[in-house]
Amino acid sequence: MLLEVLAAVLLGCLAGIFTGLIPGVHINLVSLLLVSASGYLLGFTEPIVLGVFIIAMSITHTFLDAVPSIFLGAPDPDTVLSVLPGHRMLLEGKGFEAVKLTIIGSLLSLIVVIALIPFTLSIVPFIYLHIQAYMGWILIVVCLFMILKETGWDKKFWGFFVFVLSGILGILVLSWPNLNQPLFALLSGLFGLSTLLLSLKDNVQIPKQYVTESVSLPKGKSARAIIGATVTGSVTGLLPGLGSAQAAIIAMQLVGNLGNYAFLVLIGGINTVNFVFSLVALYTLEKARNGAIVAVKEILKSIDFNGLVLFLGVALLAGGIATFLTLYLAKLFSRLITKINYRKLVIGVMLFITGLAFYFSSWYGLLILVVSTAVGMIPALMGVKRSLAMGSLILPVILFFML
Amino acid sequence: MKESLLIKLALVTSLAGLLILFFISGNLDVEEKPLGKISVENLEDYVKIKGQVTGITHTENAVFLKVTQPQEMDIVVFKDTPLNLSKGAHVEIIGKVDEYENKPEILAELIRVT
Repeated sequence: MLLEVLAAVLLGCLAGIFTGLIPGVHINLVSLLLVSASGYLLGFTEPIVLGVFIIAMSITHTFLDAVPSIFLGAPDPDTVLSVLPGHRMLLEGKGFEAVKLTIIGSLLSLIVVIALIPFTLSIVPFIYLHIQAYMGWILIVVCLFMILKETGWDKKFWGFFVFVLSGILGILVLSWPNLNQPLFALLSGLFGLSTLLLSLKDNVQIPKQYVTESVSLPKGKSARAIIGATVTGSVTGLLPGLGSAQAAIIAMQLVGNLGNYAFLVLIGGINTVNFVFSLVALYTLEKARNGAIVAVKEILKSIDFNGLVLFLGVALLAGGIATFLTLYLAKLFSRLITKINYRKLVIGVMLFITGLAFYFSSWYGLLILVVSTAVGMIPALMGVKRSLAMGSLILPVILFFML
Repeated sequence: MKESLLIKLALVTSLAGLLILFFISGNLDVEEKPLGKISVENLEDYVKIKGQVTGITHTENAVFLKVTQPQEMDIVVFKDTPLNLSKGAHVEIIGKVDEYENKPEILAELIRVT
């Protein structure tokens, strides 16, 4: 069994490279394909081995998805907020450092959350019951706080406008019938294409990228980032409708101003913790909180204590492997990105995103992409926080909890 | 933080993961039991059995198999479990022990033709 498990971890890490690096290919897609093929695959192996593959792939994905977000400005839903600080660091020749910060966040938070899990198992049902009842209100307060933090009434108005407009857009897109991968076009437009279009307008040149041995981390802020990632990633991993993106918004208000460096540590950490804690939700509440866990539940039905310990071991092993993989690939991207004409690269990425939006959701996908790109440009043009466009995901969740 | 420290942390994390896998993987194999040794005292236990399918009955929500070893036991397969079996097939079944009219039966979760 051990050899089968190790082979599944390695194959999962390879699949995680594929899903992490290619924008639009999400772990949910591969997990669902695996469920479809499980009838055949279970002729050769045990259900738990397929579960191990999915967990290893998902953990690797949470480390690697920072690479396309930072180097290409093509985020997936879990890393949208890393695009802006990541892009800023890329323009300072620090793209590698930006990725390294998200790796530090992912790895340290992974270690912290797994060390804490034995102490949290008994209180998870209590937290779930009590926080769920107030989650809508917590999100409303967090969002109001975000808007009111804008300086001057002018910017407060534009902040509110961006939040509500992107929220309405999110509600429309998420309730659109028979739309395949609705989040892809929505978030690529709000955070990816809008950033890339503005960088084209500004005729941005990518400077030489420095692959530095060490990155200076402000200790206090980094500790706050890891604690913030662990707390918000865990709580949102338990609750329905919430993911890394919502956790990031809550954490930003909870831990205060972190600066670019610790903020990237926070985003990297949340993404990984959120996934790891969805395993705890599966064990303690028997509920699946994301597509990959839905697939695991479909194959395994439920997990016992041994299964949970196995999956946490897999998460640690895959996290270690993913650290090496991400460092290597970020160095490779740092070398390659200056050899490529950035203008052509940006146009290429924009065409790729547009093509994928059309492939997933046909003409509707293109329509959503155009509208969300336009909405996504408003914060930059009006000088308000880009994260307010997260209203696209937060407002539907607030309505889900309140109605 | 120096990259060498990050790499050391990643190595320690991987080793910790490997150790956990090494110790836990021995507990993951479901114990294979002869049918004669499965009783209602094993209720809710996961067991693995091997035998020959000697009867198949289809109902609206489930399929009932009789598996013979030569001892006989009823196996319940709910319709969401993929099933492509015929009488006489030799199978390996993993499932949970349940009780029906004071007799043990197995709720199958995985059926493999051997």
